[in-house]
Amino acid sequence: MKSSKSIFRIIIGLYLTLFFAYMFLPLIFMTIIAFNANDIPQITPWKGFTLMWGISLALKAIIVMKIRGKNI
Amino acid sequence: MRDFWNTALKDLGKIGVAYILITVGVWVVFMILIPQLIMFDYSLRPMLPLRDIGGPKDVWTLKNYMVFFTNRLHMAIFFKTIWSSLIVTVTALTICYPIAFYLAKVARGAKIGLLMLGLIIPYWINELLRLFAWQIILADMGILNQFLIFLGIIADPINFRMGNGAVILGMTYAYILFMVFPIYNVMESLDRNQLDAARDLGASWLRIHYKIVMPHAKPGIAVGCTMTFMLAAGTVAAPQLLGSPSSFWFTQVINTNFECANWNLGAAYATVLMLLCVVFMFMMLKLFKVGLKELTQ
Repeated sequence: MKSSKSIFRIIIGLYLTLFFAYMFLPLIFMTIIAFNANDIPQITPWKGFTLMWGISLALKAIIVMKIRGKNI
Repeated sequence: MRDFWNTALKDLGKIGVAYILITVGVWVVFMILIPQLIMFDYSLRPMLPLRDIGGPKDVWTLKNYMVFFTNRLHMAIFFKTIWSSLIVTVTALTICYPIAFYLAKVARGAKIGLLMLGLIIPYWINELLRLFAWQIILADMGILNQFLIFLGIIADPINFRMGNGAVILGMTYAYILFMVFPIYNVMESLDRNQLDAARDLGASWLRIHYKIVMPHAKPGIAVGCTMTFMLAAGTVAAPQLLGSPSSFWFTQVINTNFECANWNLGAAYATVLMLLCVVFMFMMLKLFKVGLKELTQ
């Protein structure tokens, strides 16, 4: 009885792990890619850590604000 | 019905009842009824140049609907959309049922909160971004292909986005939460003693689920299935981002009609899709023998 219960537990744990991997891996991949210097959105080849995507996004936001005549 | 009004008046007062009636009424009329009626009206009129609108040629006709029912390609796409949405619904139900049961009846204490958070966090991220993530994974030189090549399972990248598989996968991923929470909500109200009693009397876990949990969870399953089906049948983002040129979806047909400025034909197609969703909803209610009243619990 006890061993069947622990097998059951392992199956549940495995299922939950798989499920949350399915939920989160795509998002984790996307986050990693946001810091890859590669022009193409890929993890490999890793061309080095960069913040340029974030910076260019911020710059674009600033440009749009300036065009609309707002000061930051 | 009279009891309902009496309790409502007692609990909320005259002003409260009036407020709810007015806000709900305004919402239903202006946000649901009028737009749908305008679309229905569009769908019944032929597409005309601007100067003919309101003229003698601008009469109600079923021509737009005839275009749909005589176009075999569009009919095929329509049935493909239904079929794929059903696959998405069944897959989501299969994946979510154990999760919902675990969350509602097995997990205890802080673990529930943690798992709940894990379910909700992906939904803080926009649906489009989540679909883009899958695009990155499934691309020709994407993560999945590179991983499989690295393992030596395949030599050349597989085009995962051929056919409908990628779109179905993306939809399942995007709408799984709409299946988990309705089922979780009803399962939570199930008395744990019932499960213990059944177990003590020697029922197998399969029988417990079939005889106790599923009948109790019926309204939640019905709601989850309807929502997932409607979202899957109505999304244009998933096929647009994950589909290939060889696979075309009904929502994309509607979209193309509107982009080609044939709003009337687009409206007719959209009406057909809406009717499908309504029919599906009532079929689910019938199938699970759930009344509209139970659905709102």
